[in-house]
Amino acid sequence: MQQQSPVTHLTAPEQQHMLLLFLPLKSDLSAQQEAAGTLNTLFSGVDPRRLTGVHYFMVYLLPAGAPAPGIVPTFQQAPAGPSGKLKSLAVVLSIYDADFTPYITAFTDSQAFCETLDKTILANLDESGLGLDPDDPTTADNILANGGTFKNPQAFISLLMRYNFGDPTIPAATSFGNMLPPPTSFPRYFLGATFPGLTIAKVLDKYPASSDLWPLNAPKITYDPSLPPS
Amino acid sequence: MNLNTVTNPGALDLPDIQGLLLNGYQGYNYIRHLLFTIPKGSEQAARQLCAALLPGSGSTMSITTAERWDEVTAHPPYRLNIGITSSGLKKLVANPADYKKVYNKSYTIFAAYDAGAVKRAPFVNDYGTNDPSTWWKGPSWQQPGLDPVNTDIDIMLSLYAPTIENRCIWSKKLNDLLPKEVILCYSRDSDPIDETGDLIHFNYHDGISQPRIHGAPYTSKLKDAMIDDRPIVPSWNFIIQNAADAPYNPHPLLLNGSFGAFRVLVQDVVAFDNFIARTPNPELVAAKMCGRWRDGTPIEVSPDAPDPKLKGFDLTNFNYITPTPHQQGTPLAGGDDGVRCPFAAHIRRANPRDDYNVLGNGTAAQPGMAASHRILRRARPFGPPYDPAAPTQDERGLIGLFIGASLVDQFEFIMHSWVMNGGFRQDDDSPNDSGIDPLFGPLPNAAPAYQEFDYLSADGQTYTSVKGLPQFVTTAGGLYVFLPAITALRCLSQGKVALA
Repeated sequence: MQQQSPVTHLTAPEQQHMLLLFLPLKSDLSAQQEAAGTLNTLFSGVDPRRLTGVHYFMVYLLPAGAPAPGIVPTFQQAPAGPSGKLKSLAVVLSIYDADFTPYITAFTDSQAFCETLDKTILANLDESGLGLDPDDPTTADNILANGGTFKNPQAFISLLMRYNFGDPTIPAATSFGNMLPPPTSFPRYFLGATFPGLTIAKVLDKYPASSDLWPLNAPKITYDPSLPPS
Repeated sequence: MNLNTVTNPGALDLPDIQGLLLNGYQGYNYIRHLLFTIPKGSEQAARQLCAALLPGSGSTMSITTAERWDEVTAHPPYRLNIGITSSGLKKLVANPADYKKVYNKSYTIFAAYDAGAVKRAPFVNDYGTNDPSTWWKGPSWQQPGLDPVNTDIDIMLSLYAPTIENRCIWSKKLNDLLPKEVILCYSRDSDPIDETGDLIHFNYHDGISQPRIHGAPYTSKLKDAMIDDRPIVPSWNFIIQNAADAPYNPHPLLLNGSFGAFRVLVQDVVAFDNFIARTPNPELVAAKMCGRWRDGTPIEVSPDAPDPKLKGFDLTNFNYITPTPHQQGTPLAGGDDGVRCPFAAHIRRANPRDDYNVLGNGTAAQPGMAASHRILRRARPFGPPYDPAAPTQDERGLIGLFIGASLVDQFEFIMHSWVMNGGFRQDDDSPNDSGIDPLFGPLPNAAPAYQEFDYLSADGQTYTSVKGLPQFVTTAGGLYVFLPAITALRCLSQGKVALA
């Protein structure tokens, strides 16, 4: 919405939302680190960034048996399942544009990307001991047995929502009090944003020379050291 | 494999596929949609109805298949198709565990159907004045003693006839086939409102651009194939198949079938006519709102006026960004940023073709969103034509099916992400970010951005905002139905999900 006056209305595709996954993983992880950084190359010949709308994503891994980081003991892995094998924990956070289903299906439309999801997420999930119906078509095991994410995109979405502590209906806003209509009660969380409505598409289309600065196949970037607090 | 280069398409099992999936039944313009409920204890009678409707059953009428009538017989006097809701399927399948097997195996394409149109209403803007609690009202509801909100609608039969007399004759024969235990709860006729049969009440010619389905015999004649620029869409988007590249896993019961959203959409012609009449150039505004002039001429191809020279594929051979090989007119250099066809326009929203967020438009090698989010439209007008000289309070609108293998990826995605939200195109410079599809119009009390229609001047410099855009289309009924293959119908006639 190009306008000279402040943004006062945002359609669903213009809104930013948060994905916050707490994924119980097997202790013997495999291939979980190969995808990040090369994701865009899995979309052959097209720039998926407008469609996927991913602003940021973060993957935090707490390996099986590792103590909780810091002094907060509640940040920990899920309990072991019936086999007694310890589980790892992956926390995945992402800020993305638009509703959840078009956001995820932008990925699952790509067969190559689906294969990566199968290897990095589904093959490593440990859903034992969570009380899931063994016939549930949305378990990782059943999705894989049924042909993987590409063949079961809606099941994959249901699986993600099982572990998504983010709410795809809570939009990023400048402040809680600026949301219209006013929420009748405080939502599960408040997602703050400096520029609500500034989508990836707008960044690509409106920022001068964006395609030169941030090409689809990004070059390696040298990061100077950041300083910790003194 | 690039489907656009395939000259000998793969075989579809036409005798097993319901005709409506591959054939628009042109010329069969007198339609009767009948909705039934199966009361508890009447399940076997409903199975017997399925058996009676099987081709070759010896009954006076049977389900029309996609088999080419010009290769097997003369023009049939009627065409008949069946849809089954999830509540109906649960009643027809004798063992609930079998239903669960279908659900589990085919979750990706089955779960939304299982939930049904009422539960999925928010995904297609069916709330507020479109809320399911308002559906199935009026004289078309045949059972005053039954509350539509709390009645399972289980089976849909749609009868197509070439004349009103034929419809009367075959309706009577169909009625004779129906077991008394299966209760008719809704009946609505669809009659053409002009001699072409494709005019809708808003006075546009409709049904022009349908997907070009790989291997479908009716999609384009061989002699026309060379000038048909429409991307060929894999047939598994419309006919459920065990295809390696289909993004779903079908249970055998679903094979050669499909899913459909049955819709009853009331159109407020008076409000529409009044809205465009308030503008200096009503016909231009009407064309900008639809994306076509009333005669079907795409405004993208002929921006200033309808072009009667355009015929056949000229009306659908066009893109918005990169012209197609046989596109007529003079395309805009660099693509159309809403100058000719607004991003808000109905046909641009329902099928954005090659717009920026519609990845991979064109080939099976990279079908992307353009192929996976298409839909077959089998909707026709109902109600009498509106005559401003003799206005009546009759309801009028569109009734019929929107068909695809995946209700979520096709019907719901198009309605939610494109028609309502315009998500195919960000960024958009229009003052209201192209608001909402103006042929639908906003729900009452919608945000101000939705209550106007904006379009650009011919030089692309100035927006005209037409304020006070009201709701023109109201949902008056909705069902999610399974359109079974003949094999599946045979299974269901035996209460099973697979033949022994």
